[in-house]
Amino acid sequence: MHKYLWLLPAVAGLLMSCNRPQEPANTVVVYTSVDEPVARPILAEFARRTGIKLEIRTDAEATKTAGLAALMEAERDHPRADVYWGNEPFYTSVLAAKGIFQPYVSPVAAEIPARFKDADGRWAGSALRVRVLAVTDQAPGAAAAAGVRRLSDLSNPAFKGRIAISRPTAGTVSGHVAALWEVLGEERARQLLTGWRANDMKLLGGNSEVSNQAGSGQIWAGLTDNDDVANTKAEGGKLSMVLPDQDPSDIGTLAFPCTVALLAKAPHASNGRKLVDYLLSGEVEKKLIDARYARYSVLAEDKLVKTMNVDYAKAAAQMPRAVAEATRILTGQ
Amino acid sequence: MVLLCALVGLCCLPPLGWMLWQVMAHARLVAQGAASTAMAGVLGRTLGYNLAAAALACLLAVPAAVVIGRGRGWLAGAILWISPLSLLFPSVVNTYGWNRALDLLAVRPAPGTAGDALRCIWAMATWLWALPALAGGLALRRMDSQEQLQAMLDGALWRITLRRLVGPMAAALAVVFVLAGQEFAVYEPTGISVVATEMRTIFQAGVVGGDWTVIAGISAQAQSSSDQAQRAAAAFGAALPLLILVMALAGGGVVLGRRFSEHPEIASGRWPSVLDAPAWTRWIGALLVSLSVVAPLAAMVASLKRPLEPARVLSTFWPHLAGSLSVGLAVGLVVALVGLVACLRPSRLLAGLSLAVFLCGGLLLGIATIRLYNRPALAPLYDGPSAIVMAQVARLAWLGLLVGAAAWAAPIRALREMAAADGAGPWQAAVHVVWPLAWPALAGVGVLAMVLTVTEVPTTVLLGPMRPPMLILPLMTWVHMQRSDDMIEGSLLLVAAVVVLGIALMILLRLGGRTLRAVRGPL
Repeated sequence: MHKYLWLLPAVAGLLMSCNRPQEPANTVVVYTSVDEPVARPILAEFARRTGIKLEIRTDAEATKTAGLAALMEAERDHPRADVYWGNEPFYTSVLAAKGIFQPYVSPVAAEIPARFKDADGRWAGSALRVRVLAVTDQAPGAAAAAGVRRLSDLSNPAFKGRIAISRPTAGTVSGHVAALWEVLGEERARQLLTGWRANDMKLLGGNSEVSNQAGSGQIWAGLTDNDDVANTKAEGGKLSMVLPDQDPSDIGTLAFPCTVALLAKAPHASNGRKLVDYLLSGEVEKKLIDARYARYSVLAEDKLVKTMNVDYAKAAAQMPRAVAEATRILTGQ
Repeated sequence: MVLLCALVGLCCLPPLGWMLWQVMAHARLVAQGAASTAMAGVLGRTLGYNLAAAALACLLAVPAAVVIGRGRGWLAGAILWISPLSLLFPSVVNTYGWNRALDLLAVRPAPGTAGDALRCIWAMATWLWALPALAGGLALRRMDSQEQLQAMLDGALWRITLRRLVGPMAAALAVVFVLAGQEFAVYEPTGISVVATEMRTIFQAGVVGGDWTVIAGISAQAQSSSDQAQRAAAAFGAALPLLILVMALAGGGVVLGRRFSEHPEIASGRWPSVLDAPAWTRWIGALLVSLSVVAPLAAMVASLKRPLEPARVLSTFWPHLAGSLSVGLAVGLVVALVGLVACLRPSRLLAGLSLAVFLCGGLLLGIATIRLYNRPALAPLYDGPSAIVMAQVARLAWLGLLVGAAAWAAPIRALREMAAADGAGPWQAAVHVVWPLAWPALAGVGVLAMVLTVTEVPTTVLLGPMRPPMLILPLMTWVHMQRSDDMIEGSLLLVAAVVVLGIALMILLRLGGRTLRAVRGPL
């Protein structure tokens, strides 16, 4: 039997050989929370143009962005990723504050307004997405929900049990809650969420599910992202998209850019910089808008929609507390 | 034996050791998770749903079990061979298929309602019902036909039949309960909070998801430190009560299984036609097979908005499918190798270890694997597919060990003894007697491990490598997004691959059965 002990290192070798001994030099690894069907063709175009081989890690809806952020943090001593392409700025700001990214001021970012990029050059954003109200067009909810115009309208008892939001523990809703805390102040934000809870707001597994449920008429109104409404409509869902809080006295809706950052200790930093430049380009921003993933350019948003005046970094700093409190309120604990 | 210990021990011991370490190193965090009253609510819901799914699966399985045990003809054969197919589908595909079916029927339960919970329970029951059907059917096949004839004359055939079914059905109920407890893909989209969804949220997002479970301690610590070790410990704490229950159930299942196997093996052969399964059981069985296997697939096909073009689908999804198959193949080869070596010397200890890992569930195994290998020195293991291969080998090695152990039972044991009497050592007996007879079973267990790897969701979600990409990962993304055509085409391709592998498995099983019968004949 012992003469077969050579099999032992052979098996270990087999397992190890499943992996590459070294990353090929002409590679770049990107972690992205931009929806995979949108991100992949854009990234594939970069690979085609530059000849750089791309490896992509995306995430799933239920732990959207939060999962990738946690992963990058856990891998900070030996990062696999070179570039992070996020679908919102809040988790990006949190990671930047923790030293996960290295400063890189892309020449492409020069035109981007200061509010959409980090002062220390650790991230920059383009292609604005917005939080919207998904309002069903299906009877009987359509008639009742026709007047929904503000976030506070979701507390209207006429919609009791027919309103929904994604769980605040992940995705853009985390940032939205943090922004409400920042803009409205803690007390008013609590009141808003307490009103939703009193109206039996459902907590779903993702923004797309909120939109999906509105499209099928199961809920009458819900808070979600613009791309989710667009996707549901494309799939035949019957719903409308309402930009909330657009009156002069209102706070405006939350607009947030997709963010791009270069990781500290990125294994392929040089290729990573090229990818950062590409992802911040006007061309990619246009592709995101054409794909209905983003809604506005960072260069033109103030002319088209009234947005919340929020400091992403400040909101991000209080996100854990705001999310915890929001979850506690919305689950009635 | 050294090779077997190295193969299985290397994969199984570290994650089990990590779990024990959590209890010691993060005792307070784990205890808070385990003792939290809020988590008790989640646990109660999980137990209720899983028990309902297991009971429904067993109920659905009774007619099919009777057909598998006492059915004749093509319909009975079809039920026997097609019913296990739903088990091989990924849970996310099965659930999505049922969602499509309900959508076509305009049945849309509001999220979080009792109707929504029923949808989840139904999806899980129709996914797993073949387990009790097979367990019950095989038990009936081992039942003495003379005893049944006598019972029939006494007007007690159904009573005797059901009594015989109770043991295996109870064991199968426990297995279905355990498997359902590891599921989160069924519940996640509509926000139903069960232990598996909470574990995933705690580990990946650092906070507790649904009912603000907590466990004030866990959330405070997990959030404030944002440390993966803390989150992993918190997730383990959240899973611990269910884990203890699962282990207790597994113990009960083993006892039941042993009692079941203590029945003397009856070579019932061809039973008299009066004992044939009644026609109504055959038709109900066929209806259930159609429901569980065909209905979700047909609903997905009917929901497609663009034409189904197999060549385009294959070329679009080939990189992901190839990735899944290559990871599955690696796992299948190692599990078959484990079985091959176990033919030389079986090991109950190693089988127990692997079974324990299996019972812990894919999520916990994934978390343990990440915690073990996410360190600079082990980057070669962590960065590629090795981590998931090792994790899946840990989960599935017991299958290989089971086949190896079977090669030490009758009728092969008698051949071993004859070979030993002729002076053959264990190695020679294995090479010249056992392996030539057991190869279909060994290949079959490799194929089974491959299928279970390709279709497994929880471990793949956490450990799926960037290269090669695996198909389950985009499916888990698309299921949430409104990309139904992508989801459906990807699902159908995966199902097609599983069906091909399932046919290969079926051929190998038949070949193995024929070989055993040929051996049994002269003995």
